Amino acid sequence: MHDWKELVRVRLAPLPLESARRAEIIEELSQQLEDAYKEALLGGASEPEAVRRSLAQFNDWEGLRKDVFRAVKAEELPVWQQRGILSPKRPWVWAALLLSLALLGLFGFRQALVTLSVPIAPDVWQDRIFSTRTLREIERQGIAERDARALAFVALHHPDMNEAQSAAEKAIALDSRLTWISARFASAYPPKNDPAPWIARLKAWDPDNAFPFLLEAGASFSKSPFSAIWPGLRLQELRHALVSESGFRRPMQKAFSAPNYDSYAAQSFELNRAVLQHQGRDRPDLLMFSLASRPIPNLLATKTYAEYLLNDLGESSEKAGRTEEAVAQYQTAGQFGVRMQRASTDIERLIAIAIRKESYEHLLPLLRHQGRTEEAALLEAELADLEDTLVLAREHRSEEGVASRAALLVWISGIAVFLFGLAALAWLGSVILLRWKENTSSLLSHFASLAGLAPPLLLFASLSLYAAYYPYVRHINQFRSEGQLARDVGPFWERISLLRTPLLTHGSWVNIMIWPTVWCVVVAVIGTITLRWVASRRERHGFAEE
Amino acid sequence: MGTILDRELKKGNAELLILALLEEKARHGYEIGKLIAERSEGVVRFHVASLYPLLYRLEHRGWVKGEWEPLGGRRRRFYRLTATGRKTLRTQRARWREFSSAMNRIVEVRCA
Repeated sequence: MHDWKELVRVRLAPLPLESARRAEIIEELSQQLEDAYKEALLGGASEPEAVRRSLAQFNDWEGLRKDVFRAVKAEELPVWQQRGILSPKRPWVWAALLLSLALLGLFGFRQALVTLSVPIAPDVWQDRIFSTRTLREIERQGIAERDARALAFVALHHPDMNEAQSAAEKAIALDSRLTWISARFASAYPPKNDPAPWIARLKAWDPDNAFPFLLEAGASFSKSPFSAIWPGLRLQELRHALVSESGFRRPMQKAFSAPNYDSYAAQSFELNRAVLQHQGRDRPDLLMFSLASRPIPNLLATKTYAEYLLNDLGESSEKAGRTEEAVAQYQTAGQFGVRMQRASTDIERLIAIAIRKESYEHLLPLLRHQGRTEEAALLEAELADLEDTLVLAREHRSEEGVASRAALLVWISGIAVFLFGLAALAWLGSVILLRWKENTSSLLSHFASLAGLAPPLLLFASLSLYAAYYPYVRHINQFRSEGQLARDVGPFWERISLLRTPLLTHGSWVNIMIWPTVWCVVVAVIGTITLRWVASRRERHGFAEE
Repeated sequence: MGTILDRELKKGNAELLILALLEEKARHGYEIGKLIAERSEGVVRFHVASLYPLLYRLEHRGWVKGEWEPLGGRRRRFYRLTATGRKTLRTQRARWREFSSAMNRIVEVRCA
């Protein structure tokens, strides 16, 4: 004899109704099971088959429990009474939430979250990360602590040129080794800034460096009328027009004959890294984008002057039979290329390689013609090396595909973490409220039941984010140079930047639609609540009112 | 599509079916389920897991009243219509007739 009543009692427990009503329901449902069982036996079914058929009537006891409670009380079964797979009584829901929180203990996960939460497009970067207010605070600290590097950092990044120059003066006064920061103002042109005094200061401080002279030539180029019309000029005309300007030619001559080429990449890298660390911002993306604002010389002007040496001066000397003079011109350009190739940015290095290649290609036949076979062989080997360098650079670009896919995954996971994080917070708030006051709201109870899915989804999204970001987790002190930074994480962060820029830039779809979307959501929520209220009212009073 | 329509029809008319069955006399849950299947010749089948919550809902609304009565040596819970339930049944039945005749007028018309 089966104890159907006990079976129903166990499977429906806990059913938070008045005990008499609960007992009635248990008795009634057990009778249904018993009747079906007896009918199956009478129909010729075996004992186990009769039991199976009887129990098959209620295959979802948890659903039945909820339905019975809703029917009797006209409200949702309290979320804390539910036993579904995602109810707050299930330990794995809390375990998922705790594991998601535990991931915050991992440096890499924190870095992924923080970097994704802050826009990194250069303009927004200045607004949000190092706002004028923050920079002013860093400057105040720098003055108080006589920290020249903090002041230099402000000088490099403050959007207001006057404020930046004031910080630069203070930094250089404290530590003259930081005079290289003048390069920022030496490369900023009127009307915002007069670069001349800063170029003069830089030249006086670092006279053997080609860089200040290149900045001087760049300033002259920007002032000349040719800068506006050069796209319409032919290359040869442009070269002639430029070198006829003494303000351009003289600094270029000095730059090409200077013994050093230093665009202060190492100094800039060290400074930005140290201050970011001091500010508690251990983030490769910020380091990378802080270096993006570092000035580089006018590379078009530099390349044009190299071509002037090779194609105009060198070739005309060669044609006139002044071979030694031609060799000297070619060598000047080639040696400058060697010095420039030590720079840290890819673009500077590529221009340097192009200048060297062109110079060697001019020089080689001349050396062979002169019978200087040993020098020619060395030059040939160097040319082959340059080709290899270019091939390596192209191969490096092919790795960008991997970084691009990883960035996309990180980006999507980041959005999922954000959305499921909000949902999990809302779920947490609702279950806490419902624990404290069980009958707060039927709608809230319904939401808490549905949102139980948020913690496991949050964990899944968090793990996905961490796994996708893991290859790019770095402390900024792990990078030895700007070049290494650019190679290791550059393509990844550039892709992230591209992914987020359309969302944040002025005039973008998200930017335009954000408030209409918020309003639509608010209206939808109010509408849903109203409709549910009307529906529950109708359900309560029904047709009887009609 | 057919399944969705069936589901909607059943959902909307389940109350009417139960109220109609209780119009004749008081019945218990098991009997109601069997009667629906029998009278519809198996076309309409009520999932038992839905039947009882629906009965409790109708009771909560005051359309039916459940009372324990002895039957075959044990007590059974019989449901009977209340005055409000009868009024509701009349309204729902009138609506159903209106709806089904409208449907018939559309479905039964043949192309000339």
